[in-house]
Amino acid sequence: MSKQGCKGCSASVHLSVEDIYEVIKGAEANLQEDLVEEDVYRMRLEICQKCPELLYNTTCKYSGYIVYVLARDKKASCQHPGQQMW
Amino acid sequence: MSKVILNADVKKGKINRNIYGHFSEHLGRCVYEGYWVGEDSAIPNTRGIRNDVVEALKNIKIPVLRWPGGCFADEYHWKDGVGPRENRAKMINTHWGGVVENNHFGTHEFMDLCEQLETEPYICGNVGSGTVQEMSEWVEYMTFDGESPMANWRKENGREDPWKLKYFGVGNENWGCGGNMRPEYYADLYRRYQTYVRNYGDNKIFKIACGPNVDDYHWMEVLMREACRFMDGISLHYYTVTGTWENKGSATDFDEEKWFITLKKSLFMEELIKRHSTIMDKYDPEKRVHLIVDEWGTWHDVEPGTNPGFLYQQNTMRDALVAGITLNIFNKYCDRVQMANIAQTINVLQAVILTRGAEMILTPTYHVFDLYKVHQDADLIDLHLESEDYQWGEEAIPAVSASASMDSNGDINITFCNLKANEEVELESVFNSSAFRIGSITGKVLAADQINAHNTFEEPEKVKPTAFNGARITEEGFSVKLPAASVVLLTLKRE
Repeated sequence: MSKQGCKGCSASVHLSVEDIYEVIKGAEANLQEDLVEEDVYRMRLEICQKCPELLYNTTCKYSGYIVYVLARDKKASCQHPGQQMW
Repeated sequence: MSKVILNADVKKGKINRNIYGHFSEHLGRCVYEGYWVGEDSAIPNTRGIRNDVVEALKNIKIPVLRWPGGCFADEYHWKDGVGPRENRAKMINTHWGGVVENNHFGTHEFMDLCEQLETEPYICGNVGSGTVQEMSEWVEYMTFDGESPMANWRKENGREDPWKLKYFGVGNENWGCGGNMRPEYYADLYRRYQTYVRNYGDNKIFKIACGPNVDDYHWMEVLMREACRFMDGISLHYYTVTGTWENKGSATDFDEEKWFITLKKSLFMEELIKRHSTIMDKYDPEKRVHLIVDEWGTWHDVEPGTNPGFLYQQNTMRDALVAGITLNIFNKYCDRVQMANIAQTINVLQAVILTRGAEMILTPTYHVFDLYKVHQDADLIDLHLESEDYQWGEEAIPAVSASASMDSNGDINITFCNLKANEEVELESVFNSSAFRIGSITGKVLAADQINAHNTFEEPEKVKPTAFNGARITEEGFSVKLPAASVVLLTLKRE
């Protein structure tokens, strides 16, 4: 059994533009027919980007999802407790 | 046909309930959102701590909780996390790319959580970037009863009486994120730091040294040789990673080959315990020093679409089997393994609970801890297993994992895992006892139609235990048919 690596070095909460693009590409492939229309996506994303609970400019505090993915998912909804915004 | 021989009159030691312990770090959504939502949250809470999570964890009788890390522990400065929350310093947790930490969950909140959970706190101190004074004062702050600068500060911050604190870790992963030390250097540092971890009044601290990563037997050798007499426990960390650290593999999208590889890797825990225990026996033949496996569990790729630094992974029947197999191993070596802490309770790694806003679901791993809680503080019973093989290609592993104990009521509980992904296993027992004649057998089973079955927020009860009727009493003991890819609990009551 080989030595395990250091877990502290394996990932970052901060995503580069390239990282975000990869995440979106992967999500689109998974979602397929569950993708929302572009105008719905833009509307949701605008709300998320103004949300005070958005972390690292990318991440929903309540679900851990990248908002660019969440906003594209037809089945998703805002997870703000007691204050659902979309 | 597999066979199990149970010698119910032969007790092999007490299974310390702390083997069923947990580990929660300031990482992803484990502490924040998992436990802590704040007093003003719309999510029902008691002093900021989620009520639904507390209730679920109390149900599995969580015995001990390790905090605040992990890697985070070795850059955590506890003084930033006490006093009025609005005045607490924000800090950058440099792990995971630089997480902003507002310190709203600190010592008082953690101790309140432990009191709500009715669980023992296990606090990990900072050796990597902290001072001896800082560590010493933390223990004074928490446990000193009387007049002292730290005790007075605790009282000013709203806690008159000291807390009871038993378990204290002197650093975390000091071979890696906790300072990249050599064992010789850490052994000396350990001896120095632990000197100032004082016992105040009747509070007796159980001191835990940072032990090896996986199969670093040299680290164990040096620590036991140089510092054995200054410690009560020494840690061991081992994660089950299906692939490589760079490409760990999906938590939910896997085939039977990956199922087999994962279970085989989880079985490696037994070799680790045996070999580390052999080294420990050399310096501590009385087994005074406990082996504390305070980080273990599966580590998969994060769920697609989630922040990679949050380590949020789903949890399937495969994770349930890893938990069942590993806990059976810990029970078997309960003479040396006295505590274990699965990583990391909520929303991170092999979690028992997942949350999404106000919603909460229980994972298959949660249900394994629920089934296995009968072993807590029970007497381990002598068990010999002659298991058929689970063959995959040219490789083979035992198809069955098992553990048996007698509880305080005199009932015998046996936990079985059938590792075979697609085949039932028939098992005959030979039950030997002069005092216990089997009167009845009842059971529960955790199984599913697919090996990657898991619970989601849309389908939260897809995987949950059900009554099990696959066992019957025989002339020699009992026979049982274990469903494919299952975890089974049998309870034997005497006539």
